Amino acid sequence: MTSPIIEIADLSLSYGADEPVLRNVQLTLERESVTAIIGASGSGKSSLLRCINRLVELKPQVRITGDITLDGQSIFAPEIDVTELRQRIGMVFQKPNPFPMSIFENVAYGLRLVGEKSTRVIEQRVEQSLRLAALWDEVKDRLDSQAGILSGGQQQRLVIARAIAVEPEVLLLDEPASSLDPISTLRIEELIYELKSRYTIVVVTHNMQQAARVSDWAAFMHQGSIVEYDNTTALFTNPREVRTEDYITGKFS
Amino acid sequence: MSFHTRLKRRAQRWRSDDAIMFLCGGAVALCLLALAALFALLVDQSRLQFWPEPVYQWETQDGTRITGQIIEESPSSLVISVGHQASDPNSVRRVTRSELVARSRPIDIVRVEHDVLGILYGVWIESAEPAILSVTPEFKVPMQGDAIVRWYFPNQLTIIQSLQIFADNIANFLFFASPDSPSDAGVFPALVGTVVMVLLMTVFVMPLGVLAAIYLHEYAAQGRLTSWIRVAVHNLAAIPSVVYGVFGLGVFVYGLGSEIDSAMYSDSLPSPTFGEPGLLWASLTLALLTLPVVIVATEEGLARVPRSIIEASYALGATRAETLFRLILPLIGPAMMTGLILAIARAAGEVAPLMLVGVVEFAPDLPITTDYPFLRLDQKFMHLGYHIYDLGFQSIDMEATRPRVFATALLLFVIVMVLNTLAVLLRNRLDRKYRHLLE
Ligand SMILES: Nc1ncnc2c1ncn2[C@@H]1O[C@H](COP(=O)(O)OP(=O)(O)O)[C@@H](O)[C@H]1O
Ligand SMILES: [Mg+2]
Repeated sequence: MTSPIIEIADLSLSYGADEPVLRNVQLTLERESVTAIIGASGSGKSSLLRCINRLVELKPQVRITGDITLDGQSIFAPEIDVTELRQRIGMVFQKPNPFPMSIFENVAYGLRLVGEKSTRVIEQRVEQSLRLAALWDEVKDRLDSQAGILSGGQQQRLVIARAIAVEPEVLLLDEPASSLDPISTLRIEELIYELKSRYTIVVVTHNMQQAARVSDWAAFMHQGSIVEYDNTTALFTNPREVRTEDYITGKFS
Repeated sequence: MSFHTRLKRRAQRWRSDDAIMFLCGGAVALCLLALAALFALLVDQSRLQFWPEPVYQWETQDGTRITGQIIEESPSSLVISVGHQASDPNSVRRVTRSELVARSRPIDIVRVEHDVLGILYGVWIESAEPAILSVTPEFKVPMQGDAIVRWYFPNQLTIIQSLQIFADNIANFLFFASPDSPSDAGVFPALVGTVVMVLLMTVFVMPLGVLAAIYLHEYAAQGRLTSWIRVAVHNLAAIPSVVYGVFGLGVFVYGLGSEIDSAMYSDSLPSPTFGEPGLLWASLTLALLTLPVVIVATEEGLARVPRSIIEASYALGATRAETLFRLILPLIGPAMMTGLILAIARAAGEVAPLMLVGVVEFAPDLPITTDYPFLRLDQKFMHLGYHIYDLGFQSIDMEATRPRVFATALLLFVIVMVLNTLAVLLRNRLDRKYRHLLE
């Protein structure tokens, strides 16, 4: 293991008075690598991602114990500004959720938030982000059109461009391809591969092949706990736990 | 079940399906019909105010003659406007048809609008100065030229002349300056008063209502207290409007108003400046009255904004306020417009509370000026709704002012319709922009 960027230590989470959704999660994320999180629906994958950028705190009555550190500093520390944290940790959701604005404004949204005023800089960064998200050639002639006219796959790449425009260090992708057709899914996978050299990526997926294709590390979650965490090849070819093996061979879930 | 009964049952099901459809369609048709009927009634009844109708002469069974214009017709009786009469100060006659023997349309009948006497019907028997109008053989009126406002032969008009008179009448209806006779004066001050009051109300109610809705939906913890507040807001909409009037009188006029007077206008006391009913207090009272409408409509709009894009904004590092101003507020534009439409429609037609907090029957000075601050906030003003009430029920000569009442009602109807149509168009435009996201 090289230098960890995020360390999750003994993290538990519950929504209100219900059963805890995450139980004592331990996870160490490597810099500039792709970590896949697999597991059945309801096992707490999305909740875990939402803890990393503290988006989970938007829900009323969440209780979090344990700690997450980013570059060695606790993200729950009082001196951490949650908006800065979220700029450092971008997120892409399961369903494409572009803003009801032009394609250009979607990507520029985060830049405007951080107070970027220069039109030239904004235009430059929008183009750069769209290129990086492999969408530039498809939209360069209609940047002023509503984002809603794009196809689902294009919208998801737009949302990725929107997330990377503010130059985060970490990208959290929550089932980014699950609502897309196979071709679009493939493009997203290629994109993840491309982005790996610049960002630390955590990708939640239901698709075992996808996880095996794109990730360096893989974690299997079950009922709020990390059952097994290993490098991807090892986890898929030689799982240590029976539950992991059952899940990846499809015996269960 | 046999094939035959199955067929029969199927036919029955489709028949009742059709019946339901016709029932629903019928309800829509009935609504449209009622609206059309209302409009037709207003137009028909205000016709006499504007269009130069023919003048008829009737012979009665007792040998007298009645000359005038028909105000109202029914199978058994007629209401006739007969103008100024010597014997009969009442300018409206109600006669049963059985009293009448014959009707003619004499070509030489003149309709004179006289400075002092009002409207007269008759024939010229001397057209040189001073002209003499014979209303009846016994009642002849000599007329100075400058006392005649306007005269014409109503039964000889070409269509062009009729249109000219029509245009004149509309101008008079709006702008005629008559400082001493409110019931003849143009309704323009009332029109301006209504519009200014409603716009001023909008300035108060929109920010307040929208902010309150945003607080309730975005900031307040969604607990029991919030839902009680929400119920209370809904209930506010059900309070009779005159109660708001009393509230406005007590709190704004007597409370706030006299405070302002003693603080800022103490020189002119004891005569009140803001301590009496006026434009500002009327707008504020109506703002309170329409507040629930705006809150409810805005909250409905907020509920329709998908959580997913709000989360996306937070995930990009936006604060709540940034999300609100950059994302949510533009999105709920259509909903706010809906609230505005409903508020305007309600406020423009409100009469009862205004009688307590600022409306008067006659205030020929417009509530707007060319000097800063362009509004006479402390002044009483005229309002179309109240003007209708005043003309229709407070004037001495109710029958004669009836066309005016209907014409004023028509104007109010048209104004509310125009305001609403504008707002609906605006809302639809905004709606089209965002529809794909909100489904
Ligand atoms: N806002 C919430 N309030 C209460 N329970 C929630 C909430 N969000 C998720 N849960 C529960 O937490 C568990 C994990 O959900 P989630 O993190 O979405 O799992 P996954 O993404 O693996 O499907 C589920 O049982 C779900 O019902
Ligand atoms: Mg999930």
